[in-house]
Amino acid sequence: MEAHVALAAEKLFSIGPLPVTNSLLTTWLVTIILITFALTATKKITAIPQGFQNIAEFMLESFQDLVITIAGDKTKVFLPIIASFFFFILFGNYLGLIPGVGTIGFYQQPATSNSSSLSSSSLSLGVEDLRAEGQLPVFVPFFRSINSDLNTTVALAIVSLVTTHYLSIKYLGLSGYIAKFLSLNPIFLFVGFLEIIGEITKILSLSFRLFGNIFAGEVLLATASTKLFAFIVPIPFYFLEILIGFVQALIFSMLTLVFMVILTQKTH
Amino acid sequence: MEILHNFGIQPIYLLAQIVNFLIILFLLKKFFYKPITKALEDRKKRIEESLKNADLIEKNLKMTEEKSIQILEEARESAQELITQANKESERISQQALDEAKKTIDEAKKEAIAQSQIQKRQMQKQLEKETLVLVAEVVKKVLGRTLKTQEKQELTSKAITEITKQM
Repeated sequence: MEAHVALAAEKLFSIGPLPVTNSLLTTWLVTIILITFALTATKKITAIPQGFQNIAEFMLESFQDLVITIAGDKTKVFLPIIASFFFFILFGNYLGLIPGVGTIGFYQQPATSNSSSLSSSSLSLGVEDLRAEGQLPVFVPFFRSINSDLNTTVALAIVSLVTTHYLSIKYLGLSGYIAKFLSLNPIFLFVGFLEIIGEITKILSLSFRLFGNIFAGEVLLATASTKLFAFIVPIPFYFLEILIGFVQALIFSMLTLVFMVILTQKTH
Repeated sequence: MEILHNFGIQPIYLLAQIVNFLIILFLLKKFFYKPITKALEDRKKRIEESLKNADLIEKNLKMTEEKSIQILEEARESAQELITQANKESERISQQALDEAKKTIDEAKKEAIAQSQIQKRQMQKQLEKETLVLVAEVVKKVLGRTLKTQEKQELTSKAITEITKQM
């Protein structure tokens, strides 16, 4: 089997006007898991925590302690947003590491992007047969690690940026928000101009950092288990990916938090 | 925009992901962060309260102990006082009884003395009378005649002085 992970997410089928890619499907799976976990943990809140509530409290409390050191008294407003970024990215990354995600799928004819190609004939046909016919089939996994799709990470970055600017206006007022970027002083006017560019590049830096790391991890794992040796060898890489999955989730959320704190601070 | 196409960026996917994340954000905020942070805060408050209560209970206990010690001390003092008072009272009563007894005895003594004096006087008088008769008889017998009244008296007084001297 060729170790190949496509740069773009593959389309599986459509629900009405919405085309569903494998990463979008995985996103929904992550959403369901995350919400189910949240509901289970908070179904019966007791003074003495038990089971899932204990885990949830530990997760949220340790994360809250981290946020408080940076955000201070704005923690109450920032925490839900930051924690949602963190847990969504973390759950997504770890779900992508589960065996089967990114490896179980079907072969699709490159010419027919139609979802009807989920036919038994394309599955039964060997790679060699198709190669001989000159038609290289494309491997389409059912599930794809959510952050190895740039759509997801860009979407997250956009939400991050929009909420940051929304909170900035909320805390500083519209005039205070504009004063952050515009000034009568020519030097500060130029700085403000740079800041505007900086805000736009935040989307790129946030999204490509996350996408790059997770996509690279996917490629690394695929290569290790196909080009090298499928047994034992990928295990260290898996540990590396577990670490990266956590670190990237933390980086994304912490950067968002820092941007929020900076943009909600009054200019001197 | 070739690069965006290569990465598979499509507005509809972006929108789907944004909507999805907003749903997650909303649901987690409502059903996860709020109840959990509330539970954490409630527990923190409760622990603080219990600690405060524990302090208060300890303080009260100390106060009660002090009070009970004080009460015991007071009780002991009053008991002591009572005992001394009782002692004094009993002493006083016995003294009084003693005094009364003494008084009664004295009175009795005095009466007895008076009685005996009266008796003595009576006896003296009787003796005088009898002696007088006796002497008159004796003189009558010795002289053979009756004495004149003057002689009788002289003799009697002499005899009386004699007798009183001997007595």
